Amino acid sequence: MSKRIFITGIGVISAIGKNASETLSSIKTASSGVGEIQYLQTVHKGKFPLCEVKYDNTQLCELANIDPKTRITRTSLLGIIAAQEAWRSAGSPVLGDGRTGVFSGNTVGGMDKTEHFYADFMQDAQSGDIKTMLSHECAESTERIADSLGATGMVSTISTACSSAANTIMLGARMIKHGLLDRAIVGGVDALTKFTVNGFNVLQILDEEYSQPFDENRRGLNLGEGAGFIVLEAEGIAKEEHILAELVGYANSNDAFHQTASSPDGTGAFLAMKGALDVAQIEPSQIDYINVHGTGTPNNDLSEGFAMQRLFGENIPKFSSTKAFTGHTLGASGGVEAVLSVLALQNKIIYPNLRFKTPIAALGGKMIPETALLENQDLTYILSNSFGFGGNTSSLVFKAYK
Amino acid sequence: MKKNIYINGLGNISPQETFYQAMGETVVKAEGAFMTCQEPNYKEFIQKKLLRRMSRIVRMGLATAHKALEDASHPPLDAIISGTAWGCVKDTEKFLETIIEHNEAYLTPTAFVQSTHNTVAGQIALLQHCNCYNMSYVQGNVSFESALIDAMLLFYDNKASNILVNGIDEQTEKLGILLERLQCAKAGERVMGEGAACFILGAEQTSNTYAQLTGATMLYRPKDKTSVKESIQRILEEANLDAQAIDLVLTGNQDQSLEKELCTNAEFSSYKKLCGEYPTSTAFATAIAAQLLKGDPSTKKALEINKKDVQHILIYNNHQDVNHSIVLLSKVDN
Amino acid sequence: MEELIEKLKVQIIKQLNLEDVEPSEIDPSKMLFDEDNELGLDSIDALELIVLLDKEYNIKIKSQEEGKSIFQSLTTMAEYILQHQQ
Repeated sequence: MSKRIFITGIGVISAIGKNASETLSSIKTASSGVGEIQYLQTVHKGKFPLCEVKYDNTQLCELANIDPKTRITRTSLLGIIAAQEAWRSAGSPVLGDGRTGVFSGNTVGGMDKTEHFYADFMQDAQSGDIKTMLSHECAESTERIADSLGATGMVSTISTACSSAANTIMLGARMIKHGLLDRAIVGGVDALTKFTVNGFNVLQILDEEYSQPFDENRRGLNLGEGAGFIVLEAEGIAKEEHILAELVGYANSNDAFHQTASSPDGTGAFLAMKGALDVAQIEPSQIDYINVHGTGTPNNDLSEGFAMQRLFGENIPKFSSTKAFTGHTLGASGGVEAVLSVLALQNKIIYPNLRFKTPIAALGGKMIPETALLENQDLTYILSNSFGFGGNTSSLVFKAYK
Repeated sequence: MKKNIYINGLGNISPQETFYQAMGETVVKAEGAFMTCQEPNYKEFIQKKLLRRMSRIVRMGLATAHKALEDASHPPLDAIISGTAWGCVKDTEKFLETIIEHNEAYLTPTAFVQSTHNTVAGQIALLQHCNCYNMSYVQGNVSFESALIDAMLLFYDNKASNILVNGIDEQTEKLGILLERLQCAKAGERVMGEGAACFILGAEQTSNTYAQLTGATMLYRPKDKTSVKESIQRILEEANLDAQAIDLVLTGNQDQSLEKELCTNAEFSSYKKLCGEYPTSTAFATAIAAQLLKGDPSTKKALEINKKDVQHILIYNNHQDVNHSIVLLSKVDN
Repeated sequence: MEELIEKLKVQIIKQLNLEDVEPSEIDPSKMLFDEDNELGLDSIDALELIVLLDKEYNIKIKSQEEGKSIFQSLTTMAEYILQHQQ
């Protein structure tokens, strides 16, 4: 019999708050994090909104308890803040015995610093602060996080675009199941950069207004930034008083349709959701709520909607996209939404899909997400979806610990 | 449950002539601070209209995948797992340069789309029409090992019969300048390289099997030498071997004292003289170790190995005492 | 018009990195995005063409939808440029 995997800690920072409790109260008061660009230096300021974490790097250093003179990327700062919170909420276990792994996902590593360096480098190949490049690789922020926690078990980084963090959660669970680790701190982080903002802009999938996931008139996504981490512990290691929820299902698949677009029938999304239910050994009808990927792009929401119809038939569970609150935090999104899933189970609530007005006609006009905060919900299973470029699709199933 | 895992196919692009054969007639030696790959004619495997968008790393990744699959007689894949530290450098540079040069105007999506670290794994899935498990690891010098360990877990879970695993990294001119400025690359002292090595791992031995993958692990900031030794010993124990059973150590390290203390019966060879230093160089080491165990004489010659019979090879790479990796391969009876 | 079409051919080959394609091989009346077209252009190429018009001709196209009719063939592209260039 394989070990159960418990979630004993959560930590999150995003446009709607610097920790789990702020995040929850922003959601309860329907305060979205979308807004005019304040922090990122870009020519697009005023043209479209972003979901920025509302602190500059100096303030983030304070939150992370790091000397502001330290050479550190925004990516690492966000990651450290959320991972530390997760670790503290798990009762601050000592991690130096080599049995705690740290797995983090991100898409562009230390690009926020690299793009400044590169402007100097392009003027003169010998100019610019070369040490900046030491923080460019995706692995750097993960190692910083591990070091800040003193964890010495396996450390690895996953980059599967917007499903990165979901995949680290799956990896941590599998490592624990096989007895390679007792505990894993898993999730993801991404900071907003000119690189990503321009990349999504040129793909013409950014909304110039506030995004409307799963709406007939959706125009695109709002990019966000942040980090979300959870602590996974093996049955027998997890202390009863710290158990928040259980991770029971996970699956990873590939849409194998197009480098950036989702297949019209949502094959990858269907396979990921189905696979996660199979691992959890539950029926579709047992899912109480789906935290959908729901980016707000015409392509994703349609494809994901079809996949949901294929798996759930007429009986689509309650669902919503929390990206209307947090924006699309890319490599972090699976981690941020894992934290939200645990908070939903703990607080017996279902989140509203902000700004939804009209159901998507191509989905039969019947797929209506929750539009108001639902309280006192009897929740047992939550499905969380994370899909990305390169066809990467992943789904997780969280179970209430009762 | 632990299980036997075999290397049943491989494709290897490296600074040596390793694509069309196990190892070229003449061994290429490093000149200056860099070694670059000897690349095949990509038009043989990739459609022209797709090729036009692909940077070198994507081409190398796809060509080695094609070769490895062909070599293994095209088994259906249950997972595609990629390891790359630097990712798609060329396209990242291209997109970044346009942003800076034109002040965030006149940008085109191609470079951005192909700059993501999961491009190669995604493209393999796309070309092979594979909806299976798909993962990309970007953990510096243990990116390939992360991929290998993930694959091993999938076999143990009975989730897979055949898995494609690769380790890929590309050099560019700009990256070269940065590496020199960081003093990572230094002519005569520290030669930087690049390469793409792709493997088809299988749960069953075939007539084409190169070797058995008997173990792999990675360590993060181990507290001392002893804990590294203990980890190696644990991997050996799990394979029912002791350190004396190791015939050959392919080492990536300048300081070889640890492996020499431990493997007293082994010969030692520094594999990086053939491929240069790069984060996924252990994928190259794994490829040549597999060729050697299958009995290829040219690889043995290139590594200057004297032993007649090599049964077990340990690959050990220590990156700045932060990331250590250990891969163990054993000969199979064909 | 003819001159513009020839210029466009060279620019498109460069922008889309059409290795081994000679300008003479592109038929100005042929559908650029047709599946039968050996150029094999797709939605990403359409975005590349939008940038090309912006960069080389200072013509801004708002959406891919709008691009579809403009990028039907080299001829329609050239006509659009002639009409909209200041």
